[in-house]
Amino acid sequence: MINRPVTLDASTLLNLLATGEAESILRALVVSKFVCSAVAGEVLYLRSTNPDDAPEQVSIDPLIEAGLLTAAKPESPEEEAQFVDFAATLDDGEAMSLAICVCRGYVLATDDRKARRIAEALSTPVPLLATSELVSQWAQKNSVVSTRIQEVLTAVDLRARFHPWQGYPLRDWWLKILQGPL
Amino acid sequence: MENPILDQIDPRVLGLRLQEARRAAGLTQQAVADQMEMARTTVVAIEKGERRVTPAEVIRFANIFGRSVSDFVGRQTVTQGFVTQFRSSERQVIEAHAEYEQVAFDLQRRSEDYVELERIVGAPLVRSYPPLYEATGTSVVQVASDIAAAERNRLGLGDGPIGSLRERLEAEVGLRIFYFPMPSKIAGVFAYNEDLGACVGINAKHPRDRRHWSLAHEYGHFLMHRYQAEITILEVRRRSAAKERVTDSFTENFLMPAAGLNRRFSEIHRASPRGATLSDIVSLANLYRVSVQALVLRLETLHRLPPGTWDRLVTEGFEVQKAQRLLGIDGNPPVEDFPQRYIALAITAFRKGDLSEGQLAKYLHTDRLSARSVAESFQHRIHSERDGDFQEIDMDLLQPLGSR
Repeated sequence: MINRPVTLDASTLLNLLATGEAESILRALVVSKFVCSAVAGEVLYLRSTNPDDAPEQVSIDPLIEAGLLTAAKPESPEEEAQFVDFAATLDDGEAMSLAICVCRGYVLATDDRKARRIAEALSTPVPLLATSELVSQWAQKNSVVSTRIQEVLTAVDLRARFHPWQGYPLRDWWLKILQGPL
Repeated sequence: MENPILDQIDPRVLGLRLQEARRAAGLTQQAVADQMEMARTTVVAIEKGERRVTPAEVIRFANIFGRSVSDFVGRQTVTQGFVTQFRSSERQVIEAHAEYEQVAFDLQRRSEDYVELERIVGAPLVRSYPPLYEATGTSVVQVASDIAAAERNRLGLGDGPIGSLRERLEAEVGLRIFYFPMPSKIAGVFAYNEDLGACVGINAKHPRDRRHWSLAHEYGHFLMHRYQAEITILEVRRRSAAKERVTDSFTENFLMPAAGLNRRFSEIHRASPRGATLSDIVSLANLYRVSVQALVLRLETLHRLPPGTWDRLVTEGFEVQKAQRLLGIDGNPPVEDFPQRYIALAITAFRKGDLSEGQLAKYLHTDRLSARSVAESFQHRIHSERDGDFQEIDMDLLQPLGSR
């Protein structure tokens, strides 16, 4: 059970938006949830539900307005220094999210392989979450039927073009659900 | 962190990057100093590398310039940029059109990203550059024709049309070639230095045949005027300069060698007793990937069409695009900004976890969704015939084959 605030980076937010259940999934996570300013400023697209249509721009603004996400940015000299240091190896959104987690003791929700590797390799590793774990927790808490979980993960696959990579948390569970009968 | 990045980066390198970003944003040192609430002399000292910057200052600089912090601290490869070369060789042009300098910045940024990807993956580009050709002689046409023939021979091109010029010049010469939007009067840009090699930018907004011509033209500059950065502008006055005349002549001879074109034209004649038709000419231009105008003028020069044929066609209201449509020719297919090798390097680095998703998107100048789609496209699900059945299989196009 997660008992610390969570910062979500763009890779996870994009996947959550693709599920069509972002609000419900975030509500199931009963801790404070943050999004850094560099991520909030990123323009995100999802594949349309009709594959012939152009990708559609999506926004996390409704999630912020609903109080499910709180905008954050580096506040102290230490956070600024960490952000600049991580920006040497990550993009700004990923670096800022990680810096905030390191300095404030938050959990980082990211589906990015490199960001996760860096977070785990720190002298005090940053605890991590992934979309798979957020969806799994949401499903358990809300007793979501397996067909609905399958629809949600299929949407991540099709609309966000995300496929769990080797070593990704709960990868086997994810693939099994995708392969199961609908 | 024990060894902060700002202590690791040479302050002169960081200063230069900040200076270039300021210039690309069109800001003066005073304007930046005002926004940063510091003296102009402090900005000068930072850009010269005489004063180190704090993390808070780097973040503020990035905000003011509309750039990422990672633009300043994320690249490990230190290279000499092109922009100063363009300012030196194209001073008058850039002074008259400040927006043209952005094209130089765009070429430099792409080229630096390419070199950085090569560093990350450990796969430097193999350069097979010919020696610089001497572009002087009594006859511009003869000099250009000789160089074009020598290059065709060196590249094993024979005397036929060149269908995949970009791929050839990338793979067999080692040019870095990018297609990106530029002001409409610019056809292309070329620059060379030891760090980045020979780099070409082509205006992606131009139609296919113009792009093809511009690429051959910039290649001509690489062969004959390698050490001068060049902005090719579609302007009659500039084209009369000796350097441009010899390069234009090279382009014509390189893309449409006399022997091969004469032979093909004769074959058309033999096949049709009434001689070549407009349809033949449009199809032939399509085969050579040159404009109909360029082909007709070339055939006039080779005395295969009467002088003034092109002018007559224009007077009679001939419309190239209409003719191409009738013949089912797509004269303006989309073009990839980055070389396939560049994309493959980026995806290889991403798959290995050496690039994050955000970095991949940035290298590909796109959003996350498109970056994911590009990465996915290198691991196609294709249909393969096996035992008479078509089956869907995964094919990883970046998989090493264990070659020796």
